Amino acid sequence: MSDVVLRIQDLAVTFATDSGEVPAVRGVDLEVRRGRVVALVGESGSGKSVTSLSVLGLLPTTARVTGTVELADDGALRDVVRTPEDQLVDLRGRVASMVFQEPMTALNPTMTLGDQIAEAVLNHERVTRAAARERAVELLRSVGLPEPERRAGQYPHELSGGQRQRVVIAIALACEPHLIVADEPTTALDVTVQAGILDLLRELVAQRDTALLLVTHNMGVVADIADEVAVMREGRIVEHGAAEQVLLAPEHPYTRALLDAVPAVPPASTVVGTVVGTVVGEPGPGLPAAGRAPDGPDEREVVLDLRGVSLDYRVQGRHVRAVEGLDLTVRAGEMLGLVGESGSGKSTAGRACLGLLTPTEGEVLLLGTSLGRARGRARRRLLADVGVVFQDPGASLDPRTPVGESVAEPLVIHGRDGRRLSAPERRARVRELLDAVRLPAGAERRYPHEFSGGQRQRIGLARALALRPRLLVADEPTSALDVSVQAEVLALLRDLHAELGFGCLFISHDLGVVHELTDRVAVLRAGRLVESGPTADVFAAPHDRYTAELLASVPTPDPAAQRARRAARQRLTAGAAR
Amino acid sequence: MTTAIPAQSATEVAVVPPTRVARGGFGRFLIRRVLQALAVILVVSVIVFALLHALPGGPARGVLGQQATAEQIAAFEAANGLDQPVVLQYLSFLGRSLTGDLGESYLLNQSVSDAIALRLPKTLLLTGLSLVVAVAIAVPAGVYQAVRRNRAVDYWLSTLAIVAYSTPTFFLGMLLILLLSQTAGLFPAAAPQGSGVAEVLAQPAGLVLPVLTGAVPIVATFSRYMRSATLDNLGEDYVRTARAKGTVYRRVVLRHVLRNSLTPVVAMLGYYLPVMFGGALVVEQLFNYPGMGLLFWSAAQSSDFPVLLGCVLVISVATVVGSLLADLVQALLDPRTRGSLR
Repeated sequence: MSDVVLRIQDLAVTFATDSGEVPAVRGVDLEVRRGRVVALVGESGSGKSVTSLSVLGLLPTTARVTGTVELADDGALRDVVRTPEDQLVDLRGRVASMVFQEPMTALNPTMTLGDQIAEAVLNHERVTRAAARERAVELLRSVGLPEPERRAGQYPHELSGGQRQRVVIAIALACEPHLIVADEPTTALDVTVQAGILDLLRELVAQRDTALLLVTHNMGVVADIADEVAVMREGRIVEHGAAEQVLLAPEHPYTRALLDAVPAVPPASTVVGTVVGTVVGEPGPGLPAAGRAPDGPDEREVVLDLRGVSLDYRVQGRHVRAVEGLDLTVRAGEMLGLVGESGSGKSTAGRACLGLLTPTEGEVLLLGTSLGRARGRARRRLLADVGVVFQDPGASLDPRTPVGESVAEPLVIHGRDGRRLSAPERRARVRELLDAVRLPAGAERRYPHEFSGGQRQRIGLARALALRPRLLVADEPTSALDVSVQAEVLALLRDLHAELGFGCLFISHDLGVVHELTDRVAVLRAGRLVESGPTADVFAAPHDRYTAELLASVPTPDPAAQRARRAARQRLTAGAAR
Repeated sequence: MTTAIPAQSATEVAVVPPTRVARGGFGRFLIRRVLQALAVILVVSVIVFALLHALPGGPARGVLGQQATAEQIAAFEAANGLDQPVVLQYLSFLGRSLTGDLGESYLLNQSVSDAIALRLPKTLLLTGLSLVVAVAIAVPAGVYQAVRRNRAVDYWLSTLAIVAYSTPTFFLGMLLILLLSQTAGLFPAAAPQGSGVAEVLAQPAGLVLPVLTGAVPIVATFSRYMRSATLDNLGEDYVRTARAKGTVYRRVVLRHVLRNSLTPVVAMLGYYLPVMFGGALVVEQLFNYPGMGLLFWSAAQSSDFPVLLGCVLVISVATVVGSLLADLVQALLDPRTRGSLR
């Protein structure tokens, strides 16, 4: 028993709110041993983050905690729940430390990185300021940041998200704690960056014999790094066991449902064979991108055609190119996935298709008509044929407008077939749309906050389809949703797409979703198209090294397959480094 | 809490403060701002000039009094160039201003520049002292309230701040005179007289009430700003990170939160400079303190146009300088904008 670093027994947490006590955790037992990686998985509201915060006694003052949370300190177990704040300070960072989700905001913007790391050392050890600074530089080196001496004098805004997360990890390591609690440490990062951070965590844990309690919603991350898994739902652990066991032979129906909802990533074995040097991104106008036409020429109408589109942003008076010479086509009834990491320009390209941005070069053709040249009424009529769904379903619906009115708004603005609709006609159409997205009767009169995230995204979909658009632009429509909810929304989108036959530009960072949903895919990197073609072909045998690396970086929930993927990715990145 | 990957984090955009210091280095920034300032001052002078000349009666009547004869008025207007078209008057005013000559006061037997040079330092002293006192009270009060949020102390201080803020300065001043001077006899009710700053400083007791009267509204306003800025920062993720590494709460507040909360508030003080000049108008009148406010007040009473114009120019310069200082201070305090100041 001496190697137990964390023992949680019968932990229950409730929050005092205006509407009474709300339970968040209802009786959790969990043990973490030295050197082990334990993953705590679950969807939003499952209580996993609350459990993780209780380990360091960091819950807000509105929380009422019962049960015990014991941390091993010099052979003795100390109960965090019953330790007063002035003594908790001594445990935090020294016995156990924490890594948070959002590296962009987790660091003090007005303090140098070196000082922020040194502070952790100075909090617990009687060393000089200079010695603490030296340690900070060492720690920056050990988390794999190049030029650690220079980094120590820098501020957080000078680093990228992945680099900042490495600094947060350095802070967590500073006093060599027995346990690191990491709450969604890679969720805010791109997949390739996520892979790097997971590699780092795995290495550090092994080197230092530290235990890691990893809170995540991502089953692929679990497969990549965890020894044990505890699955949480509604404040309880429903299944707990070895990672292989839980991921490959789940016993609880909820675990099974959760795993089933994870979009399948293309298999790992095929991502290694890389042929470099294929000409990409130069399809002739009107042809399917990359010229990989299926059997015979595609006769379907081209609803969206981007020809050599370049887009600029103005940042502090300077022009920054976000998209460079992009060629894309979407045909009626087709779904094109536009994938890329943050900053790749994929959302910018989407906005140009909606007429929200004007290309610096090239042109956007909707239904064969140039959007740039259309003016006034003609332009509006053209845009009436384009629907859009945005990422955040909460933010893209007016909170003070009943959802029926939100859905009706495009009908009010554009009418239908060139004429205005009467109020009863509009009401009927709204009902029809809400039926189509499977929302119950009476939903029209309710407000966005009364719906769940998934329902809100379905409302967004209903609004997007109100005018029977020929083209739907969906920008990360399910990124803010839990996997099980994502699966529902995607199934609905697929059904509606089959039924209504619109062309769809599906913008996403999630290769699994794109793999499951789309016919063709285009990969963007730093504003340029690196590869495009039928999704199955591109994912099975990527021609571009970046696409291959991207694919290999997506973790899959199967531990054995994930090991193979990791090996494949490491070979790829090693190859790139050479 | 399991939101997945906002491609471009909204929070990332939000943390960047709205400072316009970038674009090609500090030199260009400064030049641009000074040019902007000159444009603003020019526009203000046009507006004030136009307004003054739109006043019924005109300066002659104001200066010479109700009993003045038509001949006297005509002679006055001819002597001061008031019989010429307004546009010409403005242009000649502008031409003279550029050489530093703001004209002669109709009443003070003094050039406007001299009148201002004599009084401006005293007003700067008064407002400067008020500002220092106010900040010294408002910052700790705001931080303390934020840390004790929704406790009794917080409610009482908030109430006090709202009362202080809603009390008109002249009433507050009279109240202070009544309580601290007339009743308690602690401080004199009149401000120190004298022609220079040194003479004024030699009688510190007399400065207490004017400085206090000037400071109270600022304390009320800025303790509110400080409270909300501190509250915002206490909710930030970096506070949780600092706590998670075992930092004592007191240090979290003083070392991490204070600096980040202070930046926007200190910058706001710059924008507050003209408001303080406005306050000086009342305070100086109330305590008979011979500064810019009193000068402005008596010039307005007697239609002393050249002095009025001069005062307005000084205030618009203060406004522009204040906002420039605000931007500079913000840029200096915040490393995210500091890089562009090199």
